[in-house]
Amino acid sequence: MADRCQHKATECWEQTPWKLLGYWLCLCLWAWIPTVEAKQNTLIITGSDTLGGVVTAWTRAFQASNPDVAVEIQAAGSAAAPTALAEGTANIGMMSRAMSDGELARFVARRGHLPTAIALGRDALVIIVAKDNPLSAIDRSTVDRIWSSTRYCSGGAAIDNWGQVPGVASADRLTRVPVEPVGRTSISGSYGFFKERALCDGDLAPHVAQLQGFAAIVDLVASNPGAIGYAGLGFVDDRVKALAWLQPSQPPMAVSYATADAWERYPLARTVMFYLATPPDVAPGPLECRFLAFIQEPQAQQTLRDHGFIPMANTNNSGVTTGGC
Amino acid sequence: MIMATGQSLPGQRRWQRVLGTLMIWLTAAMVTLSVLTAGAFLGLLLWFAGSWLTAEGMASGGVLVRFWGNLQQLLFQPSASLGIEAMLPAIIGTVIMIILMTVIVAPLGVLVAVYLSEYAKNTWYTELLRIAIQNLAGVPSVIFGVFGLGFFVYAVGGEIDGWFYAETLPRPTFGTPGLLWASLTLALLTLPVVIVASEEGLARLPTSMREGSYALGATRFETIIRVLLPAAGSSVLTGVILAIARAAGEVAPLMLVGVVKYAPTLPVSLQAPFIAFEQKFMHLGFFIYDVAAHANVGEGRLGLICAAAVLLVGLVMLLNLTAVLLRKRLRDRYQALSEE
Amino acid sequence: MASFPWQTPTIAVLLPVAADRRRHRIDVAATLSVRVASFLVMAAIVGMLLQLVLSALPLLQSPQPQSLSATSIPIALSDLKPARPDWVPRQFDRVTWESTEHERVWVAVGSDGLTGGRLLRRDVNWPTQSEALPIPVMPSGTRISALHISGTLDWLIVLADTGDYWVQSLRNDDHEKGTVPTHVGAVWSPGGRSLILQQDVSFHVLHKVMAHGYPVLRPMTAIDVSNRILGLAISPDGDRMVLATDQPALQVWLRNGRKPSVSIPLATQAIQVGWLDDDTIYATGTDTPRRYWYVDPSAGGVSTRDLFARQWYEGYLESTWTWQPKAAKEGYQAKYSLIPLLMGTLISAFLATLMALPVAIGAAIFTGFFMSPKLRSRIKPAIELIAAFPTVVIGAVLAVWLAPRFDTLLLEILGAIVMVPTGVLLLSLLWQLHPVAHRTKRYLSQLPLLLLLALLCLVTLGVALGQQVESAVFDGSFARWLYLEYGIPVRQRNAVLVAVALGFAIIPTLFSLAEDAINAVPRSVAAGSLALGATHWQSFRDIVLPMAFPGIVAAIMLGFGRACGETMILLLLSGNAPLSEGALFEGVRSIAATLAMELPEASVASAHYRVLFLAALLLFAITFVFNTAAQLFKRRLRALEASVL
Repeated sequence: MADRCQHKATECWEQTPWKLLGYWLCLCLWAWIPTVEAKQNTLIITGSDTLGGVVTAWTRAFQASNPDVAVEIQAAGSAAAPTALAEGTANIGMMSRAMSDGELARFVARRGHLPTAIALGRDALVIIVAKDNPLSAIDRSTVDRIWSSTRYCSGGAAIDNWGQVPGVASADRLTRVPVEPVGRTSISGSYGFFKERALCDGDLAPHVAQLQGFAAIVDLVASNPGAIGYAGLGFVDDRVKALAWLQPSQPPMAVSYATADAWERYPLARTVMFYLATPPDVAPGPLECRFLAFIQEPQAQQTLRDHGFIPMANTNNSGVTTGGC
Repeated sequence: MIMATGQSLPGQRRWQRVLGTLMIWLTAAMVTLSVLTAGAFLGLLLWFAGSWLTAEGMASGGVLVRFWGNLQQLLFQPSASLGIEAMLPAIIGTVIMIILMTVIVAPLGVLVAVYLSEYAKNTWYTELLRIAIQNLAGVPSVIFGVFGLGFFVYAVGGEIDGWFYAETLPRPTFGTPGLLWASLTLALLTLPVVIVASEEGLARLPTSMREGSYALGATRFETIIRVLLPAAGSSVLTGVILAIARAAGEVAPLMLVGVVKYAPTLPVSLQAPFIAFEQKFMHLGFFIYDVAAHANVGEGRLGLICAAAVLLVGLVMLLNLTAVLLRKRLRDRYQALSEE
Repeated sequence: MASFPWQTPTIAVLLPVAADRRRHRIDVAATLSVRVASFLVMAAIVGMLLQLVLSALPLLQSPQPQSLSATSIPIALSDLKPARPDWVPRQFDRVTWESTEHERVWVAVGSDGLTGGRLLRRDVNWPTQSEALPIPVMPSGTRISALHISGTLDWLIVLADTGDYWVQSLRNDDHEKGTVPTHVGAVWSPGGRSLILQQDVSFHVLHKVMAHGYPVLRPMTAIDVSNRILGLAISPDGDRMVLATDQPALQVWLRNGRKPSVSIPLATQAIQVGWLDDDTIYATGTDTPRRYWYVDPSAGGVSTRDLFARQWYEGYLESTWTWQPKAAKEGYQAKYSLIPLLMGTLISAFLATLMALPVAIGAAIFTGFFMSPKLRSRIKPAIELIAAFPTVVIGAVLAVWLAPRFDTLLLEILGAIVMVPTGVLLLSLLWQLHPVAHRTKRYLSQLPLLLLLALLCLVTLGVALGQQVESAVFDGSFARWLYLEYGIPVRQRNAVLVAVALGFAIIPTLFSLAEDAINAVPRSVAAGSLALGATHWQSFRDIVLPMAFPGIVAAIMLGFGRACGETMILLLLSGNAPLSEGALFEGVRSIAATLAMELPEASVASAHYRVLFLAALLLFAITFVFNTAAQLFKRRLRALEASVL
């Protein structure tokens, strides 16, 4: 190109920069062209990564039948949902826990009304260890002594190696292996949920590894004989062992889909939710309504089941409400 | 020094020589080691990507059939069983963002380089500007993300919404992370690369070129446009390509200003305004991060990451290679010029 | 570059032809646009710094309370959501309650002493009738000052104003008794982890800690206000407290404060104070109506002590540096110590530089000085190829591939690290024993290629050696040995792993700059010393190295700065554990990774948001110092070069 310009320098370099500049300005101008119509047909869903997979599958099917709808999903963690809803940057917030009073208060202060909450289904966090770990059940006080620095549940001493874990035989190969606790980062709903339910509102010990996703946690636990972590039931595969939950004077509670009815008593079971920015007694926008109607169809509920959640209709609670549509 | 003064004894001299050779061997080994490490990492990527793409699973048949089938699935068909998204929107998103960034950064970078090289006198202001630009090159990329979020998204975007899209508030149009802000943030991030390369190219041109142009009665603008920029053209281009290569690999700032996990609707369309500046988009680098952290793929994770990484690295390497070739060509031409 | 100021302005004046006037106008316009562009860039850079500073600054300022008019009082959550749920009996004034998904407990001070009830959910519905709770045995006539049910519904704590308190298990008959100072009133913080005793002219902060399996109230600080306290209220988020004293002013205290963070002057003294929400205070005087003030929660929300000094946090057994800004429930004491983040950033950057330094600088020395130009033009891009690996790729691949086997590979990597230099030194010595060695020097410039095979063997040998040593000396597992002998646990995500990845990523930065500096030293200078009889290495060490040294230092500085700011590798590999001890084999949490993780969730202008901006500013400052130092060294390099040429 440059060689050609050496011969015809005047033609090349008289016009090209101006043309480029012109194109540049045109492109900049397009930014100002109102694109509001397009925006109204965009379904923006922000929040929990636990729900990320199933919501992605839902929107894919939803788009197949509604090709005019654009979808954006950001699944970093539940804590992003209340902020995004209050600021209006999302139509739907997905959360793996209920909004806290503080989040509600900030939403109310910004919007002047409460958000609409829609229960989608139940999910359970399970404590996982490596496949060849001798432990098969764990109680809250042990969990607390492994993960917590405040130890509000137990008041016992911190657990440093597997020899100190009740239930591990003193002759076991693991006894002199350090316990490596793993959890999620603070943006995840599971982080706060785990601290509240398993650590009695206590603090995480600083050495707990904080990973970005359940998938990463399962990988770590599967590959490390000393590791112990927690993950959503849908993420647990046969590379790791899910521990049953021990409660005083009760048989160990194995957590699986077969025992979903017993989840009511399982402290790490939770309800996953959708939140809408509209007040509870006001119908949300038509797009949101279409999507909410869509996810109640049997096929969508099956997708929910496939992703490891127990749909609300199957549990003892009432089914998915339409959220005022 | 001992040698130079000639006061050494033969024994000392031999010892010095042996020691020197040892050191040289050691440094030579470090060269080999660096190249080996780079090669080993690349080999690792290719090996795992290849073995994943030719593995039985989604497609069956001969090796090539499996490779093609798996690649196709990865690119076009989101796999419910894998829990991952199609990669094509991520590739397109990356490319669109980079094009937009280039469109912003190239003219701006060249203008500043021209200012520094041709217009600026040596005042405290130009000195400050130079220091600022050099320091900008060393600022951590995540800080650009923080700035992009705080300034572009919340401040500028919020203002634009207040002026033009007041009727849809509180739902923001531009006051939320999006393609435009991601491109602007990356443009700022890569600005020093373009400025430094272009300025260097301009500074290399002999003063006689300018003098000749002025002597013929050209204005300064005409000199720059018709004489200097064509001559420094490939070094400007090198700068732009290096900027693109740097931008293609950045993920951290984008996580704050506009990249999302899933946005299958492309930010480009055939209807006006062709580009949806306010839309969020998917990105290849973020796809890799997402697979590493979130995707429920079990054992296949490494292969999947490597397959995506090979694409991304291939893109970056292609651009780097172009830069290297251009640099070489520039050097040749510059040498030819000075020989004339 | 030379400019020609006489040229442009005069031409149009001398040749007043229309076409020339147009050219002149274009020239002026071009000048203007170039200047505007450079100004824009300058403004962007200054704006960037300013924005960081302005976002972080309010944190360290004291808040300016704004008096609110009746119309501007915000809607509080309590207006929309009933404060007392319908299952708590109405007839009691002093009642406290707590609930989980399947259990509800309330305790109230009735006319005939303490009563309480528990509801257990059966299936879908809650029973209407509550079953009785175990109530601690107290002397009659005890005046109860505070009630508390733990969040897990396991414990009831009843405090009397004499200072006696009773801890009663709600699950069985366990009970304990303890004493705290006598007081006038007592308020539990919203999180239920600390208690504030209001005394005559002072207040006492107590923490609830678990000791020997039951909760204990431990006195922490006693603060003398030197005025009689009339009212005391804690904000719903538990971060601040407002005090009404017999002086005509309200005092707002931070949770950990030693003195009031702000004082609001009043016309007359207030007798009742409270919080409408996290940032709105109200106060009522004896004969004045209720007034409201807005106090910005982020302004002065954190003190420098919170950021940098050890703090004794609620429920902790000692004072610590802790970074833990969030919990699911409100009333959580956010822990914003920047020390763990700084420690993580610096230690990972330091280790990474340590890893990359010998390799990159060694390679730069050989490539820059000893290698033939032809080979150099091939090798240099090959090493710079590393820069083409985006850091997210390095982080993700190593997190999935290397991290799971890192503890077993540790000694093998170490073996290779030891084996490569010793092996090369041995080979070199062997070669020099051969008589031919001293007659030929031609091989030197091609040495890296010749060493390729040797190096591959040496690495394999080192790995094998590592394996042998591990099984022979360390009983099969170095990581286990480390733990058994020294109590050092080797975590899967640790600082050394981060250093390996980060070191790999910064090799091109270090290499390119150092190589440029060495290569820029004119060959003639070295040739002179060679002619005088110096060996190649002496010529390099005594002549070239001193001249290139500032450039090498600049390269190291830039590499370190780059390592400090790297995000994706740390995000994926570091485990993000906010430790402050600087342990090699435990996780680290860097500032950059924390920004990427927590900024999206922090609500705009909250204290958390501002602390993150402050951390960003700190990171900016660190890299700024190293970059500027590098620039200064580069200048010195140029001056040195100029003096030789």
